[in-house]
Amino acid sequence: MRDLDVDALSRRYGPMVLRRCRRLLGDEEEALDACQDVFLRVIERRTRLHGEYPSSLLYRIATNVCLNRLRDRRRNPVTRDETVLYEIARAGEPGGLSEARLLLERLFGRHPESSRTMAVLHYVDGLTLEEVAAETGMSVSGVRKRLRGLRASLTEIIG
Amino acid sequence: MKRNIPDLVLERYRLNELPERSARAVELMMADDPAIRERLDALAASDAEIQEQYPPSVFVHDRPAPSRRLAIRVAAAGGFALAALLLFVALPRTSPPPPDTERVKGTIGGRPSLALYRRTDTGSERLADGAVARPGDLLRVGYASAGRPYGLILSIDGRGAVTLHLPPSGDRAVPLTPGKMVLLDAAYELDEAPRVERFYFVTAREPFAAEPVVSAARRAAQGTVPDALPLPPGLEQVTFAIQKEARR
Repeated sequence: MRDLDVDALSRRYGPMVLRRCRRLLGDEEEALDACQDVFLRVIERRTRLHGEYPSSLLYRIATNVCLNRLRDRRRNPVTRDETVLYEIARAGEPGGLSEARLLLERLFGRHPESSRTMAVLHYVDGLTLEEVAAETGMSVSGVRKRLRGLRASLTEIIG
Repeated sequence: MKRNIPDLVLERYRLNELPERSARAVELMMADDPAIRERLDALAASDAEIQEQYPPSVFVHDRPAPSRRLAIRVAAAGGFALAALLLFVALPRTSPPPPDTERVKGTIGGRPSLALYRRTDTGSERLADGAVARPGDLLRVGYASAGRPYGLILSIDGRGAVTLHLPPSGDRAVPLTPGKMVLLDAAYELDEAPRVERFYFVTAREPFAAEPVVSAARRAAQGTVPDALPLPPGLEQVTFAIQKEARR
């Protein structure tokens, strides 16, 4: 197994990861903590770096880590930090905040972590379905199906 | 309408980790849109600011919070779990999955066949037709073409959703790799759709369009998951079903 030079990775990619975490979390201290979680995950899954660009993997892991932290924040009555998630929930929909909240429940309750990441990459970051598929290693149809599932959850709730 | 380039694309461009074609596209857009150059300059300035403010080690092991000490948490990562993960992701894209003693069905002269593999704690397991799987299970689809040169794979879930797995996009059946069991590139995470999900491997000796097959699947999927698709002449199919168990 190839040794992983985490220090070299952090030198090259640390600023990018921190920017990602800053944007999603909006808190410097928590963004730094999230960065540590990101590189920890890389160490735990180090051979996944084979065959794909580290930037892509790190960006995706950072998104996952930050979404989990945002989920944890939701247990407290703090709404300022949920802006990103409401962007997802409202994307392309005429509905308002109530629908967004309902969709968030689905996002965090019934759908896998990877679906939430796909939603952020597509609805918040503006990646095309093809780009999301390339980033996540899934097929375009698979990504489309996941996003359709998320939207179907909302439709199911609001009728 | 001009498309705004996502941050991720610009980050990867700066790191020289974009595929060449995408990098050329960024450069073409940059020639017409000075704002893209400004965003790249802002990323460079941000890099400098972060590197000045923090040593690289802050991202991995200089943070003081005890609960986040990297060394402790790495040590806590189970060797078996890591090995299992590596086994699964290391499966070559076009070679037979484990176990290596398994005979591969569907050799030339026989019938084409489908297989599903599920990630487990110790690697992966081949599922039997009709096996129970749960939402969140990570699956890979494989096929043996039995000499059929063209094919596609789609599935219908318990909600009637039709998903094309091979090819992942496009409107034609693809040339099949002959002989051995071939795994599709992308893994497939099982969702919450109820009851059953059936996979259909449609093959032919001549090239064929995907659309009539997908349309037939959509018509057949009205309220049910059919055992077989009503296919145009000249096409044959094999299927593979998994039973869905509710998330625990």
